[in-house]
Amino acid sequence: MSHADLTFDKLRAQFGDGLQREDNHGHVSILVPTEQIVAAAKLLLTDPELAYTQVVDITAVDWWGRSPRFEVVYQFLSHPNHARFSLRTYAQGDPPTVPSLTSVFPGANWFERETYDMFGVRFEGHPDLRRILMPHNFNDHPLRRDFPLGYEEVAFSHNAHEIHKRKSFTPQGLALAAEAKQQNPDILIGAQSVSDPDYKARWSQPIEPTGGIRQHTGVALEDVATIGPMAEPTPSEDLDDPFSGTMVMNIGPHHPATHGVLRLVTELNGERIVRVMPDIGFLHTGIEKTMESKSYLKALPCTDRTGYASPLHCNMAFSGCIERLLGLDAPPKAQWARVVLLELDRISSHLLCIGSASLDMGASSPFLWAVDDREQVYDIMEFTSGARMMTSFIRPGGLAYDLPQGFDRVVRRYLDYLPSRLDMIEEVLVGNPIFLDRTQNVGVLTKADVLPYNVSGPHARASGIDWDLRRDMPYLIYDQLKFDVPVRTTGDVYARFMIRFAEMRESLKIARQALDGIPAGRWMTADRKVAPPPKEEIAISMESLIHHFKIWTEGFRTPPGQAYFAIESPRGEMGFFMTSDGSAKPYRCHERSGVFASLQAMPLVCKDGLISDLIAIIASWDPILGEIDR
Amino acid sequence: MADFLSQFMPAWLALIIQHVVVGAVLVVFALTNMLGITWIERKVIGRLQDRIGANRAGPFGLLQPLADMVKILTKEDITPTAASRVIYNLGPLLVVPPALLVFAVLPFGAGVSGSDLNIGLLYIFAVASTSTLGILIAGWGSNNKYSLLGAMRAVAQMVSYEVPQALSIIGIVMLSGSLSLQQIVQRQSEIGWFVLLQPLAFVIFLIAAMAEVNRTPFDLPEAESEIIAGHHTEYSGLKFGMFYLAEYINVFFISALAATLFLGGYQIPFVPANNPVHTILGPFVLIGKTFAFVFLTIWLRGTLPRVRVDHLMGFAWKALVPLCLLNIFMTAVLMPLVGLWSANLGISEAYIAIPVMLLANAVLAGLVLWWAGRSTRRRETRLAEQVVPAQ
Amino acid sequence: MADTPSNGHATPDGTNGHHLRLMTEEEFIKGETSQGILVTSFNKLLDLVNPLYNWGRRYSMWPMQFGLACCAIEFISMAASRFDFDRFGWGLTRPSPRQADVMIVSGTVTKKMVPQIVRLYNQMAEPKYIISMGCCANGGGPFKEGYNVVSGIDQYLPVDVYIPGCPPTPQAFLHGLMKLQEKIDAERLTQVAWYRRGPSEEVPVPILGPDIIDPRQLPELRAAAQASGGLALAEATATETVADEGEHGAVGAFHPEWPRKTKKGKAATPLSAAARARISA
Repeated sequence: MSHADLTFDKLRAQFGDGLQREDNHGHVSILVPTEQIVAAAKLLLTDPELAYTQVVDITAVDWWGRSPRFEVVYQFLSHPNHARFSLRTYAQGDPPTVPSLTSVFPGANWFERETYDMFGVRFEGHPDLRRILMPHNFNDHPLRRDFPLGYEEVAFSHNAHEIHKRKSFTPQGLALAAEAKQQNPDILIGAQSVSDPDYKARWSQPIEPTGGIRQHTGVALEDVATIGPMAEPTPSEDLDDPFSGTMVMNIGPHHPATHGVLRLVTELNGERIVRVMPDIGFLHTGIEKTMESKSYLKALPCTDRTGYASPLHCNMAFSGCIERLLGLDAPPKAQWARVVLLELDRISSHLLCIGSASLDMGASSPFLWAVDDREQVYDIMEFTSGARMMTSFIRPGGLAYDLPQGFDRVVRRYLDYLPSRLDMIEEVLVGNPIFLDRTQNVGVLTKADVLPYNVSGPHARASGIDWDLRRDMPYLIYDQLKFDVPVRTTGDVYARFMIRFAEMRESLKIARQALDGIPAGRWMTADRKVAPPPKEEIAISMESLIHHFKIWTEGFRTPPGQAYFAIESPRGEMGFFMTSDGSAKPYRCHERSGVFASLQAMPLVCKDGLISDLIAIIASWDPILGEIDR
Repeated sequence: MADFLSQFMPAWLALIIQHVVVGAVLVVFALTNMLGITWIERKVIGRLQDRIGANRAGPFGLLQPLADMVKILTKEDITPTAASRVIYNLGPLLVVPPALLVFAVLPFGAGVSGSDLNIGLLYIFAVASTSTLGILIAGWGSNNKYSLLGAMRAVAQMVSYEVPQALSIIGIVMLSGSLSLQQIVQRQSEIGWFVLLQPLAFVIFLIAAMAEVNRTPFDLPEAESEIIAGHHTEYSGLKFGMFYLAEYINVFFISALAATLFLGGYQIPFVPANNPVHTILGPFVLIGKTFAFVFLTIWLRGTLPRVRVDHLMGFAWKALVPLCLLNIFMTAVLMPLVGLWSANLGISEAYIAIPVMLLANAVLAGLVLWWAGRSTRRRETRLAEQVVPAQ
Repeated sequence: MADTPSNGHATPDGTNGHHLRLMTEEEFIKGETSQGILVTSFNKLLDLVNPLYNWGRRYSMWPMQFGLACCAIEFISMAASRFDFDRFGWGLTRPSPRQADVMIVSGTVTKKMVPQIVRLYNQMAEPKYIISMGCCANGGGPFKEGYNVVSGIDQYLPVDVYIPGCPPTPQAFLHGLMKLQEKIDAERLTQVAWYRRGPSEEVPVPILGPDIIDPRQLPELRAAAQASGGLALAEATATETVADEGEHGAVGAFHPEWPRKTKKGKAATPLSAAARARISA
């Protein structure tokens, strides 16, 4: 009996026979009554046989037109049993409410905030339910199906003036806002917000603690304060309290360290950090909603632009989820080639992390050497797919095109060249006492904090959790490859860097084995309903012509259902959760980013460090804001 | 020159003209070399990073510093509304004069220097440390938290590293019996270059001097990725140009000082210091040695990461100062012995002094390294790590 | 510009259906001189200084260390050893906007971020330039329809060079860099914006709201909201400004740096009524 069946039996034993179970090509999900979701989660966590140690993703699906409308979906992962499970529940009431899981899993915090922000689902019992991606004074919930994607039309010379008219900062633009207002009376638009007497008041909120995050193992934590909206700072509204001895300083969103638009509101006591409060959402482009309006293949390039340091991993997670929905497997050649490309992508991502880290710490040369090595990966990508970064090469069903002639030679040359370069970088950095002093025993993430706070990937492995999806829940052909998973126990910045060095060397091993094993054959699935037929066939077969037409106009359809598929990206577990309603467009497409989840744990490790330590910690955390904010 | 001119005018006027001309020559010398250093830095850092540096502005990019200058001069002059106007504007003005004033005592040849003060070294340290004031008021006057942090770090760093910088020179002062730089060069031609007699002091002086001028690995006050640009965050245009200028002139001066104190300054090896050839060749020799140190500075900048603030202070007070004191003690004990032996054996001092001091320094260095290696936590941490093998 | 007809039929007046055209130099100078610029009797002398002035600035542009999204990674590639923009003198990237000359907006501009970008631009010292790198900064890019996306940074800031691409390759960026250098070469001391008479206006920092609000429109929006009891309709707020056409000759693209007041003293909308009439004709 599989672990999913065991889980279902236990849940049924506790909550009765009325639970609905849905199986979708290996993805098992159970509908649970709303009031029992916390108890169910607690059962999953605490039962020694089940042992679901993390809730890896929480999101919602808006079934517009149905009642109840919002379905909240939870994905659980059991590390000891190498199994996944999914629970679903409906949000009841008006406003739609669901009990919060933060009392059981502290790592659910940001996921629930995001679900609230995007859908308006309230989580009862959440310590700090406020918006996380949208601006603080935004008054609607964008991922609802009745919220417009955006009324931006592509401008040509014949419609440019119409488009200008529609901008709501012009008086003429309010006409369109009136339409949106009819659909949602609560919306606050343009002029109205200015006349709103609370508007200015809401802008100058002081910092107030609103409650704490209770840690899983019972160690007490500081409260997380409410950050006011980003108003223009004026001296009278200055957030410093002259008598507390602390100073509030803003690090970001314009960051000289090349980590993107991450804002950290830091409370400092001289140079000592008292508290760090991350504020994200500066790169929130609404990719998930954009993807809902495109067919699957058209939505694929959007995924490149999320985790832009490792775009192929995002493509893989997306394609894998679609393949799970379709019940399809990519052909062997595609699977082996995908592994090669993914490992090269991992090397490129880790090089960027280590290079940026060394630049942040003052050593500028290893940064440029690392970037030069990345250029060679880009050369390989350009040789293979035509594009340097945003290749969109891994597609549902296989690869975009066949591997070019000479792929083997080019990749092997790189695999032979890299180890000496890694040695060089390692020698300059790791042998340096200054670097060691700045990274050892700095930003220690203890092993007990890893699983409750939803940390995965190199951060988890640096703190002693021996978990790697490639080995423990293998996808593609990783089960046929031999490789080690480096693990360290100290959990400091140094460990996180050394793990990345070691992982790069392991990736070289994996890539070499995969390169040796690429079989001949198709690079794309033979299923004509998913992959376009070859051009020669179109001329002779009517069915092929119809397939070609349907695929390129409407796109391939997926059977209705839900699926979650995750891979080991360089930043942790990257997964896609998709809901299909039977059409050619994803009804709901949610990206679970590893570093979004693990960024929750960053404030824990920054306390009592210096600013220099904070920089080192951010560098080791490797945040890629495209992934975090989407 | 004053004597020549006094034929045409009263003596006091000739003297004034002489001083003004010498001062102008020194300032131009400093500025020109500063431009050269900026060019060298870009090229050398470029080569360290596996790339070509500036090469479009003039052949080999030689006119790049000129372009930078034109750009800086024509930038808008901004004063933030919330900044304290007077001290904000005063900050850059206070960092440049100390950088230039210290060139007055640098010896370019036998008897060729701006002014041969017999308290030359004391003058240098006294004047150079007033630039700290400029940085502090620049950081405070900007009304910016980042600037304030940068200024505080700068003050802490520069005050801390004054001590080892001065203490490391005491050994040299003892050996040459004078604070005057001309005397020091003279003595080096008699007894041997002080780099051979005081290698430990040499290393400590270099470290402390780089910390004084805020060069990596000690560039915390202007740590780019941490506190934006530190004390000069809010400065633009010519005011920023002043900080830029002062930093590179300081680098040049520190290198020239190291060359003078430890490598014999203008002296060509094995040629006595009072040989008149030094009047012509001396400046070039000095510049050559100086640029060797400049290259070293730039090399270190391209390679080393930045030190953390508490490690910086700990290093200065807990490591460098005790070492300096040990060095002084060692010199004070050994040099009279050397004098005795050379008098008794009739051999020139140099032949005894150099091997004795080198040996003594080697012993001391060995002891220090052994002690440091034993107590570092690196070994402890390596033991604490366990790499869990794959199952 | 007027070469290709928009609908395939050439029109007799030579505009071929295009009603937006670039100004001629005389028109531009006339427009500039009417605002009062640096015109002295030493004009010829200043023109001699121009080459040096432009040469210094074109070979010593210090970009701000600023990157929003994926294009920033290509910016890093361009700054790195293989493509090395330090050869052009651009390599000294400055973290502080005060010391930077060019801001390279690389990545999607979101509504949450745009007030900060405008603030950073205002903090830069003249002469300053903006390079809009990538489709997202040019005009919204692949996420143009996003609810949190500003369709191009040129809606708020004056862009000097647009570099298309998603992301633009480093070679494309270098081409754009050289285009900016050409633009600088064409500048003249007597005509650059920062030596004009009168105080220079900062770009107004947009107010963060459900949709970004241009604070210069606030009085109108407030009046419209109060007049219509909460939501103004297009007819109720017909504050058309007319005849601002004469200021700058033919209508060019919306340029926030140009003075906002019309002859009647009202804030100008991006397109005047006369221009709109011409376009819809």
